[in-house]
Amino acid sequence: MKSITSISSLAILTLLSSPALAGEGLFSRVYTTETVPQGHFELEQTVRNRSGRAFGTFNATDLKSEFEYGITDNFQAAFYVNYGYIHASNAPDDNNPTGGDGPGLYDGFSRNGFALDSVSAEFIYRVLSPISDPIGLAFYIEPEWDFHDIHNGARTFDSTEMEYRILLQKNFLDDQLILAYNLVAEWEYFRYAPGDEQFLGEFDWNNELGATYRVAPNWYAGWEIRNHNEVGNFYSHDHSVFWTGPAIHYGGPKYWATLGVLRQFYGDPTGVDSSGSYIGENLYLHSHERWEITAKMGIPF
Amino acid sequence: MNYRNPKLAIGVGLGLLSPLPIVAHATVYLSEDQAVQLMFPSEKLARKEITLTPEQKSAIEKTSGETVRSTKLIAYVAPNKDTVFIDQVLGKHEFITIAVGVAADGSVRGIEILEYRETYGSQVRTPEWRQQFVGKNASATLKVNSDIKNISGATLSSVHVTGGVRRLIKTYESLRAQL
Repeated sequence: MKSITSISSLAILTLLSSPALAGEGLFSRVYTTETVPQGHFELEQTVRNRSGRAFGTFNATDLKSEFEYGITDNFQAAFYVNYGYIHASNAPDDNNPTGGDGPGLYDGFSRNGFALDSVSAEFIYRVLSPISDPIGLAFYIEPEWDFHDIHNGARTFDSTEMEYRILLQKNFLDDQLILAYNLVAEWEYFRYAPGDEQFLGEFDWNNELGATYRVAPNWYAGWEIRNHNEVGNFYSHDHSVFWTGPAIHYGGPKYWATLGVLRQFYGDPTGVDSSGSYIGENLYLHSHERWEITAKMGIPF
Repeated sequence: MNYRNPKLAIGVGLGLLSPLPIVAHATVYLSEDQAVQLMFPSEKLARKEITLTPEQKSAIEKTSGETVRSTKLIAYVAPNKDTVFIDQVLGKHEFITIAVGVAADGSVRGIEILEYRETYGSQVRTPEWRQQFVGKNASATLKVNSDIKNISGATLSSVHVTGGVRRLIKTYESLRAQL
């Protein structure tokens, strides 16, 4: 909790100490169909703290530094570096073959430190604009090269992810009320030791829905809900998790900033896992967290 | 394992943005008087503050298809009823202040963008785009992608400014007798 407080303080301090800014991640997780206009670019920084697993201590801070560029008015490319800090003490996880799991039910894994997690590229192509068409529609693709598993901090080798999104957006009330939905599909291939012959793999699919309203010039207040579903080895349902919470957004001509909180409110499976260790009461806290606090800031050029 | 201090991670992440120069964005381009002078240079227009009645508001919304956000309106009016409305439309983050000149015959004499504070979309200020409105009257469709060209990359500003002009032409039509 102490580190959540310090991270939140740092994020708030950063937002308050910067001169006024504009642009746009309106939510913690949900993407809108907006793209950077042709010839412009934007720098974006995300700080996300995740905490609270079924037992032990787990607190991770994910950092993402992103460069976005508008190739055309409807086609945007971005490159980013993902890195962060993890503090885990006897915490549970789905996969941790190199993390030193103990023999007991609640030994979990322990790890502390900073690491480069991955590098990614992101491409968004907007087909329909929510302003001039009845609905906004865009397609998103994100290849990622992984060096560490963000769920447990373990080193990974030759690991990749490919994420696809269908982005939908509908605006109401003179574009002051924005409703956005993302359907996400992600294929992940990873291995924890360079000598492993076979890759581990999983398929994730998510539903992410957000609504936000312009409550005053420059300010949006919204709510989002995120559902994550993991299919282990691409064929067996492993878990489903639901989070929800508010997101506040400021957008001005020189920068924009967003602060969002997501709290896990339902998970499946629940109770105890196949080995008998606790994973949460109507929650899935084995490899996902109860709390997620996200601060984002972007500077357009 | 290449792990380090947590404070470094957060500090690096937040610190990356701090040394960047912030691009300045102009806000006020024209005063009300300058806009009036540009549109009706040889006439003397008197500034009036008008309050729309609920019936007028309702009629304007019905005929223009636009929401009337404020019943208070500033109009510069000449003896022959040439009029310049000063009003605001929604920008992405803030309001865009516009001036719309309507000649006594109800046609648009010109539009000017007085204040624009958005990150993108300032192409609505270009003379070529604004020129499209000149001569249009209450019978015109005045819709983006119809009789007004969209500006790619400035769609929201294009749509909202166009909607504002449509609303003010209908406002002129509704108020003409009392101006």
